[in-house]
Amino acid sequence: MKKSNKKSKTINKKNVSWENNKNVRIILVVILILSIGILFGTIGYTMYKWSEHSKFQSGIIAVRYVDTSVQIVPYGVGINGDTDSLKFGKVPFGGGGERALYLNITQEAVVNITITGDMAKFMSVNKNEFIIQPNKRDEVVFYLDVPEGAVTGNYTGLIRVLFLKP
Amino acid sequence: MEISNKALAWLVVAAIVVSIFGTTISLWNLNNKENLLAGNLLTNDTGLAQVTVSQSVVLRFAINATNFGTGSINSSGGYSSCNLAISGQTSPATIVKTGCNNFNPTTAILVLENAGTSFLNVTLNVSGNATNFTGNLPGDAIGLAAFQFNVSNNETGSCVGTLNNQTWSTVPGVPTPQNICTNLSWTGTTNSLVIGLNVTITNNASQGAKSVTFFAQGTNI
Repeated sequence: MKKSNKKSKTINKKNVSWENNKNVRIILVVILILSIGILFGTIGYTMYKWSEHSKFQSGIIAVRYVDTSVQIVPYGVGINGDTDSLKFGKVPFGGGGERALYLNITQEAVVNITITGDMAKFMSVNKNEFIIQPNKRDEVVFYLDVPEGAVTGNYTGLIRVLFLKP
Repeated sequence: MEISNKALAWLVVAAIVVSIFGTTISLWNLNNKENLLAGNLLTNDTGLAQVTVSQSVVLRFAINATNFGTGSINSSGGYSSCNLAISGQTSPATIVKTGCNNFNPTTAILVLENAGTSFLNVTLNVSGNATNFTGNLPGDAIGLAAFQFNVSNNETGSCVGTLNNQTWSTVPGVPTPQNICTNLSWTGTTNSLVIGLNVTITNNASQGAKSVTFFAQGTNI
């Protein structure tokens, strides 16, 4: 009985000392300030990004997507002239190809082209971030370069053509 | 009014929870926006834009030691040049090997296929002639260096137009591509051509790896 009383007294002492300790108070205040700072910082950064995105979005005149594909083979070539997407057909290791897209728009615009997908690493474009004149057809050539060490199989990609306000 | 440490601790816990929650929501939103920027943009067009795919495709492929193997002229057998030729259909291909040591041209035969769903006009162009490829001079005093090609149907009826260069012809050099088939069919079983190669290496050819690039252009008709 005496022992348990002693124990509870010690705990109470510890509690009292924690609740009144000045150092603990300072640490808590610092953590509180940091937490609020992080929260406001994140909210501010998000708002900035949102406004940036909205600005970008409002600058878009039109966006078009074109699928692209190739089959990498060990030997031989297969030409695919279909115009429903930018198909290259069958290309051997160390080979490549080129194919064009024709762009046309009714007003002056800046053209921004991006390529995504597993085929993107093999592709490049002859020009990007250029101005297209209204109602003047412009040609953009896409190059495909298949390295010697490539793995055979079907590869696909997505070409995004963005027409932006100059 | 003074706040106790206990109350302050609860305030800190609440602030941390709100902070973590707010940061997670913000980052999630930003991530979605970044994905939109990188991927599909959902916009209402404010201008009339058109993107069309060209009717023509150019493919290039190299001819090198992978296709012919390595070797030399059989000079101990009394030859001053080595002739390697492979032509005809893929199975069996006609292989000629005269005055050569070790070359193996079995994979030198080139199959050019129409892999699309439209008829094609096909032209062929090569980055170099015999001089550029094997490194010797055509028609020189020592031998007759040559680099020729011919074209045949891999499956009968593949070229439904005019099939050109059916006999050995000197490779066309840039910028003069050669029309090899005016109308290459795309149907499943009859859609490919075989390009045969005929290379004569003379004994003044330089040693080393040789490579030449072919350009095949297909245009929809």
